Amino acid sequence: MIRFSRVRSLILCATLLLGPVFAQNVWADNFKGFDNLPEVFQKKAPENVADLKAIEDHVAKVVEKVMPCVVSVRVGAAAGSGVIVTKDGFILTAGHVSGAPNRDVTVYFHDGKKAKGKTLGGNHGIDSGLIKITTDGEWNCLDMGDSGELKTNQWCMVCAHPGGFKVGRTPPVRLGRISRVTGSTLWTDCVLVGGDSGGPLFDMKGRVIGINSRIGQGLDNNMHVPVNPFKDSWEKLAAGEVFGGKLGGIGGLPGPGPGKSQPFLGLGCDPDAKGCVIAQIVTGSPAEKAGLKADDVIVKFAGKAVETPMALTTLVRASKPGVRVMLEVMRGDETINITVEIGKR
Amino acid sequence: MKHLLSRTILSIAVLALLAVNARAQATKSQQIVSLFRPVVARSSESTVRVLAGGKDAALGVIVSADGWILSKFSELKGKKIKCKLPGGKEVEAEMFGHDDPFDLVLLKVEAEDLKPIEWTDSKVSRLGHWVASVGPGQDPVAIGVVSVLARKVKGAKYSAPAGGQGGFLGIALDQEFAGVKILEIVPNMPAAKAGFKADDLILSVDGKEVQDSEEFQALIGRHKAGESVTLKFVREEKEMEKTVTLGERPGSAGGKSKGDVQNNMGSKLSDRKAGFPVILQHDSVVKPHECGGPLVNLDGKVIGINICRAGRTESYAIPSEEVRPLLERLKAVNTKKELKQP
Repeated sequence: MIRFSRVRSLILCATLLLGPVFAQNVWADNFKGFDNLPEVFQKKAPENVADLKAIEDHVAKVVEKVMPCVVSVRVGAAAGSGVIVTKDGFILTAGHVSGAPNRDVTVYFHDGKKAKGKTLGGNHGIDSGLIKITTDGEWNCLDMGDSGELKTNQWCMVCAHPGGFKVGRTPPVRLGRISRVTGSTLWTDCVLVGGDSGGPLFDMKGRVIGINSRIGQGLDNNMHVPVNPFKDSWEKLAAGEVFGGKLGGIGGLPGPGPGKSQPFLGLGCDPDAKGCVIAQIVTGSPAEKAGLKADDVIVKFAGKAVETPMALTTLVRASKPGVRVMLEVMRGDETINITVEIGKR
Repeated sequence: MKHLLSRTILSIAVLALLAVNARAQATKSQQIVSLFRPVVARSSESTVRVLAGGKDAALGVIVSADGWILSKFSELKGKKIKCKLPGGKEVEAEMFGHDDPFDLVLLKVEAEDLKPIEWTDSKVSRLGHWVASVGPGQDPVAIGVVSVLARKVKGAKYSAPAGGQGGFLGIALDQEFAGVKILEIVPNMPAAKAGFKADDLILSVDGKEVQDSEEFQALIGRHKAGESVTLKFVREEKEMEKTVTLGERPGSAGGKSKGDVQNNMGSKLSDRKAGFPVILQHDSVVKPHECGGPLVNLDGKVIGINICRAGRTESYAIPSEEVRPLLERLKAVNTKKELKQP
């Protein structure tokens, strides 16, 4: 089914202008029975060994289905991951993996085969990116799910290439559950590390529901771009457009390695909200110690108004570890003052 | 400002709505871990805690009724060893043979009527299947799923590391080439400064021939930043030689690469975490001092021995089918005598 003719096709032309091609793919047809998930997935949590058994039987099938569509991508000297979503070879990845448009990409499959590709556009505000395989061929591909329907505690799975492509190692499987959903970020406890960036987050039907983006300190702090924004901005991404400004947040994957004494607060803001609405608190961080909570809105930092997460990041970076800072915080309808001691990473 | 504030309140309302759906429960929460009690019940009777110099250093696996116990070598090396047997009795243990590449050691305690472990080949488990890391207690010490099936690790010829982070050359190798070929040179990095170019074919490092990129990386990894290596290579059919001084990895903080920093986020890693010839990879969070114990599948069958916490996303086990043939060999070795590799 896959042909690896090593003909280097001339750079993407008309096909890209056709826009989304989300036709049901042949590959997915090979896996019937995914429409009705085993009962255990409707439960709040597994209750006994039989439930665990039902989960693993199903997860093994999902792995078998998705594995041929998971890729490692090398762009310049950086290695990330991706997933093929159309049979003509569009690959979803992270914006910080694709970077600028029209760069050469080497695509590695789980079995070590490879193909050539080019980077396309990206929304760097939410960290979505697109790559197109340029080697001739028809490719195994997966459907994209609806990230608008995701629920807390829903089971999910990551299969990508931590540390980059390694000869003889299939992309490691990680099983987890969704812990938080916003329009631009999904949080799960599927553990991620550098190289996983751009790799897929799957639901239990083997559909792509998110793309790995960044991590926080805790093992439960793994962030993914939901898949819907990819579909919503498909034409711009496919046309090679880069938009959306710069990504705020806790730290990219791979991001700048934290310096030894970089000032650190330890919270992530909801990029969808206006103002600094706390979406995530890093376990053991100064923010947690000071008693800040998810959904708190940081209004002022040391008397200075903070209107965006970036403004907050800038102020934290400009401060020093050990300094005590007064935050004006809105919690519900109340305005409270919280003192936080800036830490270091 | 007022305008902004009202919009802020609106978004709080939206978030509050989101928060109405269930509270997040971690996949590895105590509630789910405790479901594995019947799964680990049998093997926990064959699992002991191993103390080195009075501290919890590893777990061990009872391999025979008369007191042979398998554990993780590098956590115990050079220390006085005790085992806490099922029932809580602490006994002294003598170290017998060890295997450096697999980092396994066979201990002997004075005991009888111990319950030996029952092995199963790791291939009974498929990708995504549950695994439980067995401890001496009723709960497993960790749970997770099989991330990668048992695999041979290319170039995993273990020798004691030089210590610290390896130096940096600044090249990307062609992974598909059967040999060591430079695919790309990072500008302004040591390899570029020394005059290496893309398509150079590397033959040897300090006179040691290299067959593939993993072997090459293993050799380079033994050198720290500031040390020099001499590379023999072929360019346009001519054999050449250049010496290059390794640099610090860019973006490194205190000699740590970005990958190291991320891999250390969220859990403590084992000191020895590479060089095992065959590994099964799983996503459980096994603490370094809880390596050396059994890894079982949902049927409670022992598919391997946990050997290290390797990174943020991975723990490794030595598959049962690799462990079993080692046992007789390790028993035959007397204390303090090194085992020669075949």
